[in-house]
Amino acid sequence: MKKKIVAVMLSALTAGSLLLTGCGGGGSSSGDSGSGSSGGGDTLTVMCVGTEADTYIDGYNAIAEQFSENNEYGVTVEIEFYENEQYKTKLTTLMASNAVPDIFFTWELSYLQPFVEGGKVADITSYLEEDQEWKNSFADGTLDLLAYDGKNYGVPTQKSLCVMFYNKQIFEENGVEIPGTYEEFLDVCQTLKDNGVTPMTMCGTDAWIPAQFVQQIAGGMAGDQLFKDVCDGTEQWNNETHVKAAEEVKKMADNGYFQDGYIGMGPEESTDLFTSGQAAMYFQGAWDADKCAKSEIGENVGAFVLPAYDPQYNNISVGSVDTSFSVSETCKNKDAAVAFLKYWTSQEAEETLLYDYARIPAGNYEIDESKISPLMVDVLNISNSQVGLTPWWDRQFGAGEGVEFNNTCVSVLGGEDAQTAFDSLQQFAEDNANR
Amino acid sequence: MKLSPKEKVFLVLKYIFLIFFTILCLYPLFWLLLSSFKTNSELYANPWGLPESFSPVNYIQAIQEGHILQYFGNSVIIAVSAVAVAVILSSMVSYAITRMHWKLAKLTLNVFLLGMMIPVYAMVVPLFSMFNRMGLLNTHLAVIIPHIGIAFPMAIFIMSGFMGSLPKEMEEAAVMDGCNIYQIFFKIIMPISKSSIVTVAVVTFINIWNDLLLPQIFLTDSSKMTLPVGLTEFQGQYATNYVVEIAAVIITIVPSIVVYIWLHRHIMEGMVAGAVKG
Amino acid sequence: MNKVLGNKKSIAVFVLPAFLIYAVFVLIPIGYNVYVSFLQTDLMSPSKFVGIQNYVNLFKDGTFTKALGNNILMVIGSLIAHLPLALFFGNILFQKIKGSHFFQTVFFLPSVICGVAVGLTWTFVYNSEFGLVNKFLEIIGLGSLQHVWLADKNTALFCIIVVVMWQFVGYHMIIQIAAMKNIPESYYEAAEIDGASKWVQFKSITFPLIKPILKVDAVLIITGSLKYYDLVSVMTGGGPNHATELMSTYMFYQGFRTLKYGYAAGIGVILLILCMCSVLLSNFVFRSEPIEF
Repeated sequence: MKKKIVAVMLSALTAGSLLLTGCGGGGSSSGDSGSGSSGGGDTLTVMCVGTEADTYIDGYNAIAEQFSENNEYGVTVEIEFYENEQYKTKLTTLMASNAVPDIFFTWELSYLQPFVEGGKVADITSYLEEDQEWKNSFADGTLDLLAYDGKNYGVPTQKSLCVMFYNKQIFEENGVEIPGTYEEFLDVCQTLKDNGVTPMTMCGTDAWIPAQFVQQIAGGMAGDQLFKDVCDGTEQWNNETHVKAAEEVKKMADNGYFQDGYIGMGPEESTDLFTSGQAAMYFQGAWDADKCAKSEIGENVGAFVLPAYDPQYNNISVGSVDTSFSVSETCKNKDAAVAFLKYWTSQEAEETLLYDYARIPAGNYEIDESKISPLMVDVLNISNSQVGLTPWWDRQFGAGEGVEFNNTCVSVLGGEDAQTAFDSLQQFAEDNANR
Repeated sequence: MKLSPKEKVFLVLKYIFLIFFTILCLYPLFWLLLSSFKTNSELYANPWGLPESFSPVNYIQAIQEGHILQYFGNSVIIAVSAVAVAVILSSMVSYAITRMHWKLAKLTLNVFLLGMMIPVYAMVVPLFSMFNRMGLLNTHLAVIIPHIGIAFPMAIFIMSGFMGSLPKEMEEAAVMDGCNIYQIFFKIIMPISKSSIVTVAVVTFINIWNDLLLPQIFLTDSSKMTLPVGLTEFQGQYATNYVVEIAAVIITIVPSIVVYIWLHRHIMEGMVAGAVKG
Repeated sequence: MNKVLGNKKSIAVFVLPAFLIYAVFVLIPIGYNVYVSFLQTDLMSPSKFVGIQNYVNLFKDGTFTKALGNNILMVIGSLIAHLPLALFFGNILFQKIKGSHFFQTVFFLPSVICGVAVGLTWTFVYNSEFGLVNKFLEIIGLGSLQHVWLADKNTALFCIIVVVMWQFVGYHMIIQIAAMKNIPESYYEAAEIDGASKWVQFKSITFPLIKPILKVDAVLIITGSLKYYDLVSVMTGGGPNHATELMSTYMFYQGFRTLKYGYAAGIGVILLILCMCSVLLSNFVFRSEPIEF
């Protein structure tokens, strides 16, 4: 009898081990575990980034509704929204467990790459090939940002780039104008500061926000060649431009060009300062144009591109495609999912998003300027006048060097010596290569 | 007994320390409670004072938009079921180890007690892929099961300590009366052990109720989240709406405080039992 | 009698359910975790056996060593607050002082509140705009010391350690008081007759007699501080620039953000080893009375 107990205990251990064996491997056998969302052709679930504060979620939901009302597959589309940081964790765990919803929001480049390599993302090349018109509707090169090994795994629905939003009323009251050179920009900040106005609002808790500002200034110092050189490894992370750009931002902080306590302020809070008229400028991706336009200072918001430190590199901005979507490999009805993406990137849907929610379309469409706000006219003008766009570092390099670049910028703002900080970033990059 | 002047000074000093620390313990919570009735602008303008009115508007918003009640319900489901299973199974094991006659009893006890020093971080990656295979991810079971397993060591430690101290005659009398082992256990032993069972239940409950890591990893649907995860979601969603966030925190901690005031003897006893009896 | 209590079948019924759960969901995962830590895996693509490479990389990874160092600071901070300070309050409250029960109940209270709520509460207390700390400094005329506490890499970790101290002083105090209660009253009576002062009584009666419990308590403090997760996760998320990263938060980040499950498993193994070491260490330091775990 005693032996029996031991036997049962042992077999329990074995059974448990069996559950685990090979878990590290392909693991695709367990198919549609977890979320039942991918079951049946009736509902397509979309996972997207967004919070209550983001005005665009109404627009996205409207697109889903319109598609649900009338499509040849008879499917209903539902979009679930999650906050940015949560979204990243959620998508990762869902990926590993094969429970990703049919369609998911993704960032381009190295963010999507591991999921593609893990076989979790549907190859949509054939759909694009079959429908050349659809394929050609995307602006040049934008699809490449979501292509791996020559195959397409996602489509962008928008373009985005960083702009400097400004409050026209505050500018007028303080007698300053849109700066044409970097020095003028600093003068504008100083004048505002002297007049007791907060020149810029900045968020220090989400590292990518100060980092995109540093990246923008670095682009203005050395152009987009620097970006390419770092990408292909011919230039190091601790190059003097990065150090100088970070020091430049730190100097602005020390001069009081950002609001007090910015380093501990979250993104919503710092945006609120601008949209409630308490700060004159706000550097952010154009995706916030709608939030600004629909705020209490709405009509007074304009946008300009930050003048380059070195004028020969004017109009090189941080920007890329945005709000890209991929279809998951586990999706049961890929035809319907692709059809939905087609609908989303159709002129009709993109126009709604542009005219009502100020999202810059990814495709090449004629734009009716009379239907958009003056702010969007500014933004689109900037968008069209850029000679180079450098994607955000954390999209290009993902969670490794990209995120550490962001952290490095924050730590410089926190008082660390810029050279030391970027030296350790370079060290990290070298170590990370063989991890 | 009369106190000398020196002793009086010491006594006063002692009270100063005690009262100072009492304020340190209670004031942040009290401040939070007051703040939960303010508006955001009041919070900035007047962080110390009383709110202009005690209107429950922040609470209503936290409950309606923040789904706090839903999280609350999930927490209750997870904690109650895990505690129930853990308490019953661990008291059975403790009984078998301390009262029944078998050779592996001591070894089994030690294997269970070994678990007291295992950090849950050393298990989550394998558990994740296990539940993944079993299709349990994103179900309450994925949180309940590991919590039961983690609860065993401490529970068995406390209960076996208690049951081992019971007199032998108890079972003898029952056997004379013709009770079988299950009757002995459920009709005699369990009722006698009530106090240590409550202790174990309370401690396990607190641990599970407060846990953030497991639900954060194993649950993805916000409709299945527990309160602690819900609070962190809240932090992301309503980042600037501090007063609503504060109201949500208050809703989370008030039940803990009420239960604590009600059962504080058991809770204090239980949470220190593991250490003191070691 | 033996027939009832020695019945193998009923023993199996009593033991096996719990043992199975424990074996399958605690013991095996621990073992498997050690195995995963030798792999390079994202649980999606085929995994690769890399031997101890994950561990080599971990100790070359500045962020991990930073997290390890932070954990050690956490241990030291907790030891200071939870041994001497808790003992100080414990000794006061153990003596028959009016309101002792009330104070004990109040001091213990923070340790039953969930870490997320405590973390959020203190995030508000530390808030630079309306937080109590800055407002208090302003009132007492030290406005120049005002600070963005949790966003400054020099103060953030310290601020979190303060919260840990705050939350668990009462808990450890109660453990120590419980130990003091086991000391026979007569020892103190004898000491009173000899005219020994309170301090002498503490030094020569209380402290030596509760020493065994203090050892266990030290183990609890150390393993506890190695395991903190909630507070940091809520208050700073490990930032700014990893200044408050702990092994637990870094494990979560590596595993469930960057998909390096093997790497994350390695961090789990190191945590496990450290927890075991703290037990062995205390067994060694106080070898007269081994602690049984």
